Amino acid sequence: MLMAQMRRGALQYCVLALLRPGPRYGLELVRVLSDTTSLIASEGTVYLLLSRLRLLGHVRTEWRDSPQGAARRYYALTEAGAIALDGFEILWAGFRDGVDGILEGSRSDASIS
Amino acid sequence: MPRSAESIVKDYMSRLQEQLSGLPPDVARDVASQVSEHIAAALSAIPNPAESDVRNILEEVGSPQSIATAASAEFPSTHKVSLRTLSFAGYVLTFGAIWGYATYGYTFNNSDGSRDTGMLFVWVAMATVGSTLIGLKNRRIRDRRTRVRITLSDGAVSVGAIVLIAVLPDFIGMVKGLVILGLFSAYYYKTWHVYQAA
Repeated sequence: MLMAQMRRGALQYCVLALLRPGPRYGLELVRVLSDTTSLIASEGTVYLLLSRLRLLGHVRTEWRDSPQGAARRYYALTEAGAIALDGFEILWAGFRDGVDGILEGSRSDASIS
Repeated sequence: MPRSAESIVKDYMSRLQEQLSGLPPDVARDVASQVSEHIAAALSAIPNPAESDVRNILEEVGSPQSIATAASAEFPSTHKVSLRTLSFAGYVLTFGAIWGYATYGYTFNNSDGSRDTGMLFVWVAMATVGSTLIGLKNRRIRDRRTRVRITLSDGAVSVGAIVLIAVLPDFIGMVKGLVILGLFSAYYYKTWHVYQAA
């Protein structure tokens, strides 16, 4: 439950961050997410998120030819998506430091008393 | 891709489309086409995919049911009235009309000996509004299997109650109304969890 809530909040910005260096296609994006984080429950749910991000205007899609032949849908960060990501980065740094501070403080308090 | 692999994917996609049927149609189409593309891309990376490869890929993608569950969190309902309120109002009006009919009937003997059938209008009006609300709430249940099951049960319980009214003898009086009320309460108690998520 806790994981699901944290996931929902952070995952969309992880997706935006993965697109910051340049467009990626779906399978590639999903594989990076599932290899490097415990953020996704299953691969299919990433496409729900991508659909929503596209409706929000944070991500756009474009078709590109692939070496294998079949055209692939690439996901790219939009201007609005980049702004949202910058905003999240600032909030996240403050949030992380605040929570870390309290967690670490709770340990040293316990050792004193 | 061997024939069986192709049919496994096809079967998966049709189950997924069915499960996504509660989403706005363009979103459901969009999600399904991306997932289908993902599966095709994953399969094309394997030289000679065996049936087990296909199953592994689909397992990683997730069951249609789990994707549908995630979909209702990703695209929350934008309705003004919650499903909980809608279902409660629908049941109270419909079941209330049936219970009222069973308990009070629709004729009243006036003091001058004439009979009044005015209550019939009240029961019919309540049941009409109530069953319309029940229909609306059932359309909003996203999981198709649950939607069908609940729609059929709503009908069965209502018909069952009407049959009970006809079968139970009138001389038991108020007990008849209590039996009907008990049936409806038990039914609502068994199904109310369906409306909590949305």
